[in-house]
Amino acid sequence: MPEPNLPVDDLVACHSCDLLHEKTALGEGEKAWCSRCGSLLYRTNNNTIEISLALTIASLLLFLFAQLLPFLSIDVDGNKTTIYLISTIDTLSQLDNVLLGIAGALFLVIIPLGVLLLDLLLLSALYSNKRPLTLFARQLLLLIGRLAPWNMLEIFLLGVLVTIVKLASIAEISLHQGFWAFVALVMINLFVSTTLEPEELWQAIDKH
Amino acid sequence: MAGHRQALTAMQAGLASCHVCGKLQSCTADHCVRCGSRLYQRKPFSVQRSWAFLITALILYLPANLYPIMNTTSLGVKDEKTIIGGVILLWSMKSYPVAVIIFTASIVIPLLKFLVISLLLFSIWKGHSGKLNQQTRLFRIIEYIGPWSMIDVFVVILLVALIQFGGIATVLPGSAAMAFAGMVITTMLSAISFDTRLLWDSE
Repeated sequence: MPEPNLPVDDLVACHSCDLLHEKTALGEGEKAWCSRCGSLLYRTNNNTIEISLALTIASLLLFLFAQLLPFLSIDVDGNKTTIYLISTIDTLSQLDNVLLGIAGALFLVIIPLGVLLLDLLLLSALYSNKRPLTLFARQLLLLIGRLAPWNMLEIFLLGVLVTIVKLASIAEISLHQGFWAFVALVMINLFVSTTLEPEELWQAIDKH
Repeated sequence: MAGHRQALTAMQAGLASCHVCGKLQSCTADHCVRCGSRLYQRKPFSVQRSWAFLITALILYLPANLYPIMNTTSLGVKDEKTIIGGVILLWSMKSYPVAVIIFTASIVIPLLKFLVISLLLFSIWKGHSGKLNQQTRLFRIIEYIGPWSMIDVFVVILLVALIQFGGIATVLPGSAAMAFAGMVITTMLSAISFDTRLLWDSE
């Protein structure tokens, strides 16, 4: 049980049940759990700003490859069509269904690209430690936090796989560079989002 | 760690952890000292917002399942498929894994979300604390799996965009597609508005 007169910074409140705990130092790869509800309180950061910045730059390149390189081709009785991911937005925009076009553009391009660009700005600001950039760090991190639940790239990947299986029964499908770039992008995204703690970034911002 | 029987919550200690950045601080301030967001001890109007989004989602769930999600025209033959119709077709074509994925993501997960969130909201309303550990864990699970319902919407978007076989076949999104996407988005908003700490406050 925490002492009532400990400084606030030595305490942590569980985000699931609000119980106060006294912070204890963690070893490599350790996690602290709430003693009442069993939720995760905090964990050691397994990733640095430097590595995350490098991975974000890699992700942006992979995002461009995934959108602009041939994604897959469909072969129906020798009638071959090659598809680019970016052209799906173009096709959707030609339909009468404006809302679905907007939803597609938001979930497939605008939100994922937006989060990557905001990540790039924030991490490079924290990494370079230049004054004009760090001024916006707070706003950037707030915006990233707001967009994060709507970044559904890994769900989209499962959608791509389901689509391929569905189409495989009526046509011959071959996967191209764009598809593999997309798979790599999702993997890196998952790694960054599970290893980099927002708390770490807030503390880095606090130091400036 | 120490036992919790006499332990304090942040609220009882006059503290609040910012619901945006997580910084623990005195609750006397209006705004978070670290990120500047409005500071609350509990998410404001959590129960009301959760209910409002959940009811909206329930209403959208009907057209999402009753109307066709995809309209296919192949060699002049029109075909309209609802979500469950698509699952039955996949099953009959022996695409069992895909049928199971779509059935789980599109039918089971939304129903599970409706059930769990409304049960937890009732539990807060009655101030009755059952097995709070399990309730909290259940909420975290459905919060995580909720967005996966979007799979079918992405599949429709992809099929519409991909199938342009020079007039041999066309695929158009059905009226259920937007209702379904709206249903997933509103259930996610309902989960985001929900505050699990309210479950524990009656303890």
